[in-house]
Amino acid sequence: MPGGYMGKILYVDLSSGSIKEEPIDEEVARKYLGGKGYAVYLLYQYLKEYEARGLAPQDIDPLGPENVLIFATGPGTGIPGFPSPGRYHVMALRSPLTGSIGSGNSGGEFGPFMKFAGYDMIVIEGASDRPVYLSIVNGEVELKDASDLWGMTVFDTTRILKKRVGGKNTSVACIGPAGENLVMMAAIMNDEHRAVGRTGLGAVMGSKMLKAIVVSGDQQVPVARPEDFKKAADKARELLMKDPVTSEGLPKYGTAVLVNIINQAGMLPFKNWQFEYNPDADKISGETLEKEYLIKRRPCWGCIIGCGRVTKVQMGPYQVLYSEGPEYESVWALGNDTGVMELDAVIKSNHLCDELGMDPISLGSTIACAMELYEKGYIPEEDLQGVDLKFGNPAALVELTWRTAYKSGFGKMIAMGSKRLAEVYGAPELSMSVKGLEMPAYDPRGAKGIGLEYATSNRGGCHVTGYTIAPEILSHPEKIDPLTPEGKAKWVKIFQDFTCVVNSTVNCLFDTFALGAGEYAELLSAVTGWDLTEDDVMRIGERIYNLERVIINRYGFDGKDDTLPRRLLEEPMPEGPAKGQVVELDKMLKEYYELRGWVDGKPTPEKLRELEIEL
Amino acid sequence: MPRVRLLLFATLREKFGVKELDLELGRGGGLRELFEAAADRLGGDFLSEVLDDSGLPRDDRIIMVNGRNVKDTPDRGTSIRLADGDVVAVFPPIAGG
Repeated sequence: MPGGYMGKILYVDLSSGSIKEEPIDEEVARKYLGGKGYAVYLLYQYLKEYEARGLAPQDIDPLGPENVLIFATGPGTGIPGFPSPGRYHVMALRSPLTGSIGSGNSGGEFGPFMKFAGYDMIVIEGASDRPVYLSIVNGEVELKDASDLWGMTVFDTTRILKKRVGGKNTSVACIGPAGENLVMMAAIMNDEHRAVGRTGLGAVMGSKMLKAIVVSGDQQVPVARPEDFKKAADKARELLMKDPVTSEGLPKYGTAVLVNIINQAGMLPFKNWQFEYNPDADKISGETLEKEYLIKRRPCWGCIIGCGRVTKVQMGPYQVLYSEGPEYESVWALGNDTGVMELDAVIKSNHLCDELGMDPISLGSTIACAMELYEKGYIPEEDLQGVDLKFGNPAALVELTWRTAYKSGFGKMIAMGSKRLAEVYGAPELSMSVKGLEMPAYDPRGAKGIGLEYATSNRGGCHVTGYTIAPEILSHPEKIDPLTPEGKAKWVKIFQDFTCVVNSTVNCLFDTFALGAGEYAELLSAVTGWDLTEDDVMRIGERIYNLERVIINRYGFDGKDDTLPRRLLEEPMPEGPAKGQVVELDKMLKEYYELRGWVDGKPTPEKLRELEIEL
Repeated sequence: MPRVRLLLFATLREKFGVKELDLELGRGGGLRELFEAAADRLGGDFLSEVLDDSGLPRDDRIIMVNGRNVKDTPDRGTSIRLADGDVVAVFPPIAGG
């Protein structure tokens, strides 16, 4: 077994209660690493098996027992000295929110502690007919009754299970009421405030009646070449400490420091993307958060960047005495996009998202979509049951946050996500989503590359599978003009492929502000004992992205779905530095498909052969 | 005489204790003149925070004129003549996700 792996995959069938383990297949690991990549490989095997049994991919119910949920660490996870080794990735065959592949990533402690408990990956099949939780303590695996935990919040569930299991390296990943109630943007939460936020994977867990996974252990992750690893890790550490973004910007202000710069660039979506500059944005900025709400920082396990925030709202109607975050995306979605400029209320809403288990991006965006639908007369007053759904109302934001988790009142409509909501009320164009996933906090009319990324991301409207904001706005690794569509296809492809490597290693995307594919090749070679080059690493990333694309093609997603909301393609930016701009998607997409070797959003057989992807 | 608004963010805001300055420039003044006018108010070391040894905008600063990064202009913003109502924003290296 190569270094970096515990060597075991745990398979749990919740329908039968059977538990078994299988070894990591080194041949697969060499081609797909771990984390997202290995999970994508396994998901494709399930699709093949289902097809052989007569279940077509498009007939897989995301909330049915046939959906498969995979918790996946990678060879970098849990190794002291590896850059940000505290993360893990979760994937599902299908997302209930989008119908595309389910995918999310989280920090904290769960990933490393899962390996210390003895497993690289946990594969959840079937569905239980009563609430259960999975306990993995130093290789001892048990499914246990969770009737007493069902209905509890994320915080209570976590505290109870940590106390019940005890031990030093103990961590809980669980769902809150939102996941139990099959809210479409339900998250899987770990270590109380860390979220596998996107694509509604909490609802998949809820549909299986799996309340939690608790892991605990003291096993060590083997490293194949310790001396080489020390050299590579020291070099990475030096680069991270030298880069002002990873050594100063992120630790001091956290991710919300982006609010002001993205607003100044005229691309901070405001009031459901009707406007892209908000004169009051500084009220909810990282600087304001740091000055008025920050108590301390809480890094993920083993991370030297330490961007995590611990915050507090001292008094008032939105008092929260301990919370974590909010991150840039949460501040934007719950604040700027809804027009709510009271940071107290944004922190409270974000806190409720953690406590009840929801994705603040999709939640905030769906509330913003509802606000526009209401203000334009699509939602009748009586449907709101007393909620004053005008833009900028902090009380409506906080009330709809908890109501959504419980599907109570108008929260039942928010719980569908913006795509279904806007369709129900007859204005589908007002959902700011791609493939059903709400887009994050950058208007691509002001940075064209991120528009191509949103359109082509396999999981839907996503920025962190190809973060071209780095070169377009933040000058990392070099500055490129955000307003031109020229050359963006190449950047998007490189970022998407490289991010697959990051999510399969699994470590933090923020490392890539200082580390490139060369550093990843050195680190992974030293850990695993393989001899990987920079080209090998990028090829692995490309292979993962293509196989993931093959999977979503099987669900019916193709070129027609690689698109953007009409507002971004046809409505010129109304004001600001990007005034008059739209996204020239067709031009970028054509170039992107050529670079990818895809036709109409589908990898060609030649491309798959070239990447040694066996279907 | 054009009046230009200078905005500071993150560590620059903290170091100099101001969020924004309204500055009056001589006609035809550019970024250098703006930064010199700011240094009159903020202290001489402000200049070294925004300009390099050769007097050009520092490579590791994000400097925007009306939302456009000066690095997206042909000469890193050196030929820009600031006009009345222009907004110049200066950021240290920052990022997020």
